[in-house]
Amino acid sequence: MLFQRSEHSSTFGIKTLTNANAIWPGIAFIKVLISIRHHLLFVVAALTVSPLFAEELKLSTSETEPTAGYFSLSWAGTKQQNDVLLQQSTLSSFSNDALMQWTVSNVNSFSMSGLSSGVYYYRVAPFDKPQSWSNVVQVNVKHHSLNKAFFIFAVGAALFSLLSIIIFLNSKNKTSGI
Amino acid sequence: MDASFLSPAVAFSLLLVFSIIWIGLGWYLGKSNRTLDDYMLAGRKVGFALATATAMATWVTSNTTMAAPQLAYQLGVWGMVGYSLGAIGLMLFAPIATRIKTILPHGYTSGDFIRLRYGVGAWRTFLIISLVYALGWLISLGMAGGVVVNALSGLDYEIGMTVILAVCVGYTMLGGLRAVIATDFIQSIIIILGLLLLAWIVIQQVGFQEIHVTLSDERPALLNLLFPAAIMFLFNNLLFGVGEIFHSNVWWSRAFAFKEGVGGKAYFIAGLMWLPIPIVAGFVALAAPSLDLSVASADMVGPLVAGKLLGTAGAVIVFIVVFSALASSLDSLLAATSDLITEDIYRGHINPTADNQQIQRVNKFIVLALGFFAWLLCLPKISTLASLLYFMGAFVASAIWPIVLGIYYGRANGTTASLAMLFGTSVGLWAYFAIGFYVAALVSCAISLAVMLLGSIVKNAEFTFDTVTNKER
Repeated sequence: MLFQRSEHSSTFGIKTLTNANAIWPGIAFIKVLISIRHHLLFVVAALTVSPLFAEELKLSTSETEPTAGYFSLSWAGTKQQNDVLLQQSTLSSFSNDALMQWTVSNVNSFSMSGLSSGVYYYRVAPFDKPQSWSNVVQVNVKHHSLNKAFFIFAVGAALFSLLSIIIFLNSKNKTSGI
Repeated sequence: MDASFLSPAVAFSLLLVFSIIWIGLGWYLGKSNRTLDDYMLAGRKVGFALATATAMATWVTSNTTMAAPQLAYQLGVWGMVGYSLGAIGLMLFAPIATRIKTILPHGYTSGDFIRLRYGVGAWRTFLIISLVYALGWLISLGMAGGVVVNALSGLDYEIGMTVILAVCVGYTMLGGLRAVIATDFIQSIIIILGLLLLAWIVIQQVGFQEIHVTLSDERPALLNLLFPAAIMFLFNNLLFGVGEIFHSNVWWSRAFAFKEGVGGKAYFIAGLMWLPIPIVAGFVALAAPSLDLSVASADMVGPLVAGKLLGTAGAVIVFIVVFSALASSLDSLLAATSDLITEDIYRGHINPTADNQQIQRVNKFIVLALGFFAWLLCLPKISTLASLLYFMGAFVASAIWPIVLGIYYGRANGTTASLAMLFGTSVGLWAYFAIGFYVAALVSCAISLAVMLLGSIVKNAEFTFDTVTNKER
């Protein structure tokens, strides 16, 4: 993809040069310099971005500090990946003792849920190139405090109780309000 | 997307067969509609069995069959238990339905009550809330149609969504509420049998122990009874369900349509029958980690588990159950919302002298327009089902207290009711974004109550309920 774009730009540059040259040599010289600069940029880009890097996946998360233990991971690459390996670890080194791994097929996202509070690290790689790991995504799961949860629970319980009492008492009194 | 569960040809065939059945029934039942009451309220003489079935089937929506598994997958055991508390809304509405029939024997919509009880200002506020909710629910139902077809067969999301909307619009236009109630009866039986079969298969093939061990290792919070977000969610969902039922014309139109003395019993029994359904549907989702499923979006987890366990057979079961659940709710929502727009906006604001034939024609046109509008809004799949659904919680829960206090007490007044709905919705929406979807309804309900109580103290009005009955007649 990258090389195709480079060739296309080069062709376009020469056409422009031919037309401008007929008008004024000064403009043609500047265009030559620009064209060379473009060529150099694409050569540098082509050297920097190796074919291996071009296939590397880019991982992202829907939330970096989820408060309910669920979030979504998604990845994109330079070509469609059918199967990927997704790794989760509580250590940034992804050492074996804290590692979980899933093979994810035919989709480019993964819905994670049910995690306890803590820091989790994620990375993905194409299934057929398990060493081509993506960037590492860090997710810090921070559940709401239990105090806050029970406060909201108590408000809900009070509202429900009041509602039930009002309806129950008035349904007993069939002439209420009329 | 994994398209191995169901071939596109099978998915198309199922869509076609059920489309023909529902539209055929709509056409057949619509033939006996003679008056506006027949079309909009099934002649106001629906008996106990049909009344119970339609209440239960309407409450079993795509959200029950798809968002309940999503909530179990995200919030664990409390997620599915919390979802089942939605049944309380139906049970609490039982005495309200009896009361509605007493004070508004000739009413058509929930808007009728708000207008007569609180005046024009509160009526318009209520209509905005009600229509936002109806549209949100319509979108979530249309989206669910697209999601389930896509998850099971790989067919484009747009195809499933378009077919389900078109079919429901078709038979609702043809048959009115009579068709809606009759199809609900058949759909409720399909839903219960399908879900029971699916849960039994999950237990047989995966088993409680394996599910428990996998969840303990990989997703421990799902089994944690002190899961904070899930604890917050419990009463939020209950109040959301109460808000949905108490304000929505879906339930009011049924209260008007049921025979004298039927509404109370029918709503209570329907609530009891509905109670275990989200638990069964949600339980299925807890098997996903044990099955090593790649769940791309949480609202697809139910269909994915069924497809993984049973292949084509499981996919067919889920397809039929969800299609029935979708249809049973979508038709009711289309009918009730078009009634609300026809009566409260067209007759109430645009053409007060319209005769019944005009009303019926306008009503059919509105069903069509609503379907088309919902289709347009469903095209960009903007959210997951649960997120979209609970966004509505902030709106509907703000109407609980204005309705309950307005039905039973004379002191509640129109200005206060409007303010309660406005403030409740605004603060509820703030909570949705600042805390999470699992508190929006609860916060909205609490604020609305505070405003109602304050307003009743500040402005001492005394409303007599004879006025409602007399004005209506």
